[in-house]
Amino acid sequence: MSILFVATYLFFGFQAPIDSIPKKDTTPIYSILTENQRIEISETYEVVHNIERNFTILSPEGLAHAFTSVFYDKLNKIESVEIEITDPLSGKTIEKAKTKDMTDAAIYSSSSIFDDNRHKYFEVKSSKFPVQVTIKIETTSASNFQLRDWVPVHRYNQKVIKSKLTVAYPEHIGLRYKAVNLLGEKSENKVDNRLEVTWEETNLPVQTPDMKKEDDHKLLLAPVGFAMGDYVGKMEDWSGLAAWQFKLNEGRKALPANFEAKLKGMVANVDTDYEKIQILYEYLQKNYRYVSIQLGIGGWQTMTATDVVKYAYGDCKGLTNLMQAMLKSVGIVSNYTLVQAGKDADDIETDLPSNQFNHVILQVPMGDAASPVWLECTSNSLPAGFLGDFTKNRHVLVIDGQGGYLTKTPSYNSFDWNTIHSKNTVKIDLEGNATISTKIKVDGNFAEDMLMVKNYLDTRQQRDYFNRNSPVAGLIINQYELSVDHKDSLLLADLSYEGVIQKFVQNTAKRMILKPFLGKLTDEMLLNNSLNQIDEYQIELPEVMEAENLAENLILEEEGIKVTLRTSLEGKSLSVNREIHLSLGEDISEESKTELIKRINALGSSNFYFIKNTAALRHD
Amino acid sequence: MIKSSLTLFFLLLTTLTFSQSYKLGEFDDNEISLSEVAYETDAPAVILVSEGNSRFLSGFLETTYFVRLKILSEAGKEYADIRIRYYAGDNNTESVNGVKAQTTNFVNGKPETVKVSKDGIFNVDLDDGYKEMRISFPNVQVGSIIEYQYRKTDKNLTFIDGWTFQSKLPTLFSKYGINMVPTLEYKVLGQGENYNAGVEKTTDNDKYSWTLRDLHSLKEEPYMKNYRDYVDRIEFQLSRYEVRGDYGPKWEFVLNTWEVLGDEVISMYSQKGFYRSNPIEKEFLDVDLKGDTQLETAEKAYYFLRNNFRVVGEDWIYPEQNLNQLLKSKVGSPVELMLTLMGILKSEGITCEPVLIGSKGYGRSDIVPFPFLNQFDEILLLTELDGKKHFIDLSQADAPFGYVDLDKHVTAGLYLEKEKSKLVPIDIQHASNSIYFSQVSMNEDGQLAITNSHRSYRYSGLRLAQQIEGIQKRNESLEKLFDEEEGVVFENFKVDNYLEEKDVLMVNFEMKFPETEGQEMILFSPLKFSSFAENPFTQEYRMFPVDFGYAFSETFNTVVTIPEGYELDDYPLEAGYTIDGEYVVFIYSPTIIENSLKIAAKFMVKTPLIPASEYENLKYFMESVASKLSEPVILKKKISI
Repeated sequence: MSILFVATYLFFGFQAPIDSIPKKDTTPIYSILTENQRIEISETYEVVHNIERNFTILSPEGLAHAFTSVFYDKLNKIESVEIEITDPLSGKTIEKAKTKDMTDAAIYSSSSIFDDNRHKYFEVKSSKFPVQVTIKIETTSASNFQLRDWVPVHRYNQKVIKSKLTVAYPEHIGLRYKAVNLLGEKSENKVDNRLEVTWEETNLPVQTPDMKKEDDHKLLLAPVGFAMGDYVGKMEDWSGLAAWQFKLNEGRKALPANFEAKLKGMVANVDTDYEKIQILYEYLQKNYRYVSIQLGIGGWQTMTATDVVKYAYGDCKGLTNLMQAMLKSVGIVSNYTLVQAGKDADDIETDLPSNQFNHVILQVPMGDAASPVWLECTSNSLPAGFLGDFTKNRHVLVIDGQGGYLTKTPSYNSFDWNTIHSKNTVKIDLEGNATISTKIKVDGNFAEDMLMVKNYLDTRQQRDYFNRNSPVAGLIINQYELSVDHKDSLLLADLSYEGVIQKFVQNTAKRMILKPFLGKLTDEMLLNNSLNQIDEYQIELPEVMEAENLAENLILEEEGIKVTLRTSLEGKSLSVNREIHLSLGEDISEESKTELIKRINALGSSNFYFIKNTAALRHD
Repeated sequence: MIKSSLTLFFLLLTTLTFSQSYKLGEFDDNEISLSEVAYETDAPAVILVSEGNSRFLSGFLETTYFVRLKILSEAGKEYADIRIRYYAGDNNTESVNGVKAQTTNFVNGKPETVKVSKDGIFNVDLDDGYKEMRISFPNVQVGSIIEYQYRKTDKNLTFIDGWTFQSKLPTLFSKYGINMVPTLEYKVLGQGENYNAGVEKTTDNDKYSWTLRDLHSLKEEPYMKNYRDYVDRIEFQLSRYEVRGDYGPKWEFVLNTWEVLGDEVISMYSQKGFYRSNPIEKEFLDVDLKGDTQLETAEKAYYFLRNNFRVVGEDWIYPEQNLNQLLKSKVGSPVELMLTLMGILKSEGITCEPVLIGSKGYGRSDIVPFPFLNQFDEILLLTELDGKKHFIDLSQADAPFGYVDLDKHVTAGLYLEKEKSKLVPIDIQHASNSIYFSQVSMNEDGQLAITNSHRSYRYSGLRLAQQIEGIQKRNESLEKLFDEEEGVVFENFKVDNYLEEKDVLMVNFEMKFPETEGQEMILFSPLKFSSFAENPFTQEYRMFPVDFGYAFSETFNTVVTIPEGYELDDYPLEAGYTIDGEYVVFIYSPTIIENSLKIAAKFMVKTPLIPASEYENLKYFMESVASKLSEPVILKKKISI
């Protein structure tokens, strides 16, 4: 029976040769999986995790599905791994492997100078298909702080016949979970004071790379009671998790007396709290650098403030803890805050209090009426109060004394934070090349990119960046100046350059055509749902010409949207002015945004055509 | 780092005295006052001194490293985390010890030094025998000078790593010295533009040193995958060593001729069973691969191995498995499969031998003219089929017979033949061109429609086939092959892959432009598909040559049939561009014949390696090409009177 079954899938497993089918109607299957996992949580919060996987690998692409990598560090151990590769047709064992046969390697991190993250891995090799791979893994963890998500379908082009997860735990430790798109059964069982919950999924649809992330099947797990080392906590609500984090870092804010005195001296004659924050934050940025060292519980617990002062470096926890201590020393209360950082990171699951964080920032409350000041303590360039796209506009857990609460970081979505104003003077010569003089003023979110360009690229790379990001191809910058400043927390960038645009003009038999020069709107520019952009062009043509397609005024106006394009030609002088004012609602869908971007770009993308004055070239 | 499997044994060596010319914390005034690098004013940090000194101890080489680096800007602080990788293997082939590191800041002109404690030094076991020592410097500010020194011992005396003079940062002073011993003789290999132009070399008895100054930082550039081949560096290979003979000391030569070097490698391959004389295919694989001609036999053998064995692992000249293991597992590295193919062909009476090559990006732009094993990293087969020479490569699972990985298109390699190994030129002829045919007309719905037929030959065909396979695996439409464009509908894709039979991949498809229906004026770009519709060169200047990989052309033939009711109002003018040396050429020629406009254009890379000195011209050329390729044809509705 099983052989017959394999043969059925074998048919799908083979890749059709490159042929006339532009898009495949059937999804190829590279492997078939049955999996059984069991998580046992002990009275002492230790976790034993057993996994048994049975793969039938149908094609070379499926070999990667059976690639086995088992993580370990100071808190997590590998107890045993057994891998057996068999020929399903003959039943013969082709290869067997155990933990000792696996390759041991550091998980290489370019951002952490030192951590204890390692793995043992094993790669299945075979030239024959199908091949059966059975993998048994047992790991133990010293802590139940983090329970891994259960995702029954591991890979694209994988058929999951059956996947089962059982979590067994003492009743008093508890378990919380959130099922997302699960289609199967859940059952519960209680023996003495231990509970056992089982989820079983069968015959799940095969996934392909075009699948949306939110459609995946998964189960998120979190304990109620947990411990790491000697630190015991409860995360039944966000405040419980915050209280545990507070306890973990308690007593690590002490500063050397002379250092504290120095800080007090720095703000002695300063009136406002914001100014004090600014002074101390800039001091931190100038004198302490980000160095990531993550070992065992040190992945969650901060270095002491004294050590950060001693070495003048620290990771996000260490630098944030130091900043908090510095503010405390001058009488300003602030809150250590956990965040899931990353420009494209998903927001956390707010209804499942659990550790969903990978970074720390600092919140400084400014009184009931005012918004708090947020500090990204690993940045040596952002102004106090501006978080940047690494941590802005998302839920965070503020550790507030003995407890804490969930709140959102600012989204910076008003016009002040999303302004671009460019003024350009272009002069076209008789060969079709042009000189250009441009001044661009950028405020808020968009200035963050300029800040990165200024701080991290050398002169050649900066020129290249401006060339590549110029709306018109062929720009060569001769001279430029970029300055980035800030007014309180608002970043302000000024860029001016002079250069040459090669082949700005295209010549056909009858016409002179200007290359498109109005920058296109991108998805990225609408991330903040707000845009206030003005582009002004003064273009001098090589001679007086008749404009063929000059529309004087184009307007797109709807609720929250106003776009105008005004053009005029007087003698050789062409003026083009585009203004975009967008203030979109928070609930706007991605599809609507994409549609809007297309409409705005269509408005500004038509080329400018001029009929040449040379009668001889006319083709009548 | 290359650790050969060749092993040699030496006499015990004499320890020599050795001195380091730079010392921690001993700065000169210029170093203290330096705030920017004169020739790279925006450098975030600078290497003030980088010095290495090697000496031979009993059975190993010890090299003392000293680096002094100054932080010049906030961005430069990232250079205060150092990673030093070395190969320990199972036997501590290399080991690092004696680490000292410190940060010095100048407060009111006075140095304040903080030593790096053991908390700031980490040792990490990586993978495959490699280790990394990492140093994180404390108290780093703009203006800090950080220094570190350590000793590295290396048991491999056949090949000495030597010295790389350049780095990601500008380097003011880079020096390597070695104290030779009378019982060992090495061949020295230096390379790089700065090295060749002006390395300062000193010799004092057995002490040798090489110095370069004021070196630019190294940065990657587009169209230059092998920039490492141009780095200034120096290496050593043992040529002979002294042993005690019955009648006093005598010299044993090591890899001193191409023949000896070749025999050494052949012997290694033989030990793995790849030179056995019995017919592999009949005895072990149970297939008959005999064809009517030698070419047919070779093709059959190639496809048999390609289709029944899996190529995995690094392309590298050292096999791990022996022949029997490979035949059992049917999974092997490129070298293992190629040597197996050689065995099959030999047993069929076909001349076939391996050729060792230094692939592009491996670190050398030209072959070293003496027997220097470390210059080779990959292998080809050279065979004679029906009187004609062919290079064969089996490193790409999807490549047809006769295709050689583009990284292996180098100028020469070492042909391995027992007692007759020699350098041979590698000149792989191929026409990897693309031809684009387009017919533009009005469809029955009154919309502009273009029927396209693209033919991609040899390597451009293979590249396209790989792209198509990727798109299909992702379950996407083949319109992903082209840039996104508003208002275009792609349909009726048909792909015919004849690369194995005729060296060509054909893609036919249609495009229509629904928005053109009923329009008074229709504008469209007649040549839509060039790889160079956008200028790939945006950087201001270049340090390294531009490498297109191979000579090729793109030919365009578009015929526009003027639709009924329309007239041809406008079209691009004739043009032709090139640069000095005619490395690249572009011609564009429109012709009107009766009721149609024919546009023929050709883009040619005639010489694929273009010197950096021509970069500015090349950039302007490419911009002109990109601009020309996007010029429109304009059709206008006839005015009816």
